Amino acid sequence: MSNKYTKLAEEADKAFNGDYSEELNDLVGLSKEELESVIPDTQNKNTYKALIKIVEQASKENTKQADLINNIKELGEVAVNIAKKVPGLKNLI
Amino acid sequence: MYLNKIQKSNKNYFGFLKLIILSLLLTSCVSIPKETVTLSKVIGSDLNILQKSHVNMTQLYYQRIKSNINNFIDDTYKPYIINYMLKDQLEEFKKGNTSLLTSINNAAQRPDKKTADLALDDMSQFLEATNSQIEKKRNELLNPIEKQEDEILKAINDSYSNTIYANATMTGYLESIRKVKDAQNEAMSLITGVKNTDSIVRSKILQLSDIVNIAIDKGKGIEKNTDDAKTQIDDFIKKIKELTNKK
Repeated sequence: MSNKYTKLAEEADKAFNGDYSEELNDLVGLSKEELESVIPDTQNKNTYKALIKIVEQASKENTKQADLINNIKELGEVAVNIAKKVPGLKNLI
Repeated sequence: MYLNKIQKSNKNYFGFLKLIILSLLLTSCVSIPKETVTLSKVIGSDLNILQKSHVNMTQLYYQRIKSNINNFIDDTYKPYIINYMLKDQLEEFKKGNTSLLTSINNAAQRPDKKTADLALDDMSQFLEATNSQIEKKRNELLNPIEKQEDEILKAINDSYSNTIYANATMTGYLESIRKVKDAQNEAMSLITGVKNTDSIVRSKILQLSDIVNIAIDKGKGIEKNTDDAKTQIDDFIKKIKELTNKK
């Protein structure tokens, strides 16, 4: 059902826009230029993605290297422990 | 001649070996204190705090604008619209035309169901049109502000997320270097039997670097075309010998 006062309300709104145009302009928030200056202009996601991929790969390789060194060390300790259990070698160690 | 060849070959071999050992020492002696990892983690945690602060500041700014809009609608727009519409209806009533006041007046004059229903229906329609217009205006002003706020918050959060993730990756990388360094140091102390080989070698390299810098400064000061160039060069060589304790 149509409202017989809708047109009148719209007319009142038009009159208000004319009388309060300055006040309405103060409530619109930031201008396009202001908005651009506020939004952080950082590197795009793809640049980050590409760089991160390389660094992550380097980290993996470093971790592998560290594990290898530790494993070799551990292997040495195991070898010494085994040698200790061999009667002939026990006295030499 | 054959001996010379072997000597020459050995010389080359040892030279090459020296180069490899020096490269290894230089590489393994790059200083990566554990504080590097800690600093990177601190930056990561501070970035999170900065993000929250940046987001809060933006939300506070937009909250203020939204609050101003709501106050403007309730304190200025609403009374204006109601006043405009009622004044119009009063004018129509005075002119003898059908208006909201006509039905209210009729219901006041004749207390029957028909006039009462008509007055009630008119008042409901008037109220609905007024409220609907007021909320329409509120949304008209608030929607672009909320859209702008969402856009800025998304940009801020995206930027921080990228930076925080990149920093976390760097922290991981530094940690991995630390692991390699620790393992290298342990392996080195097992081979040499000396603990802290890494820091001893590093301190020697730093000393050597200082000596080389001083020597380069001295060498640059010699003017090759002057008569006392030879004296200057002799002084320069003497200085290097003094620095390296070679008599």
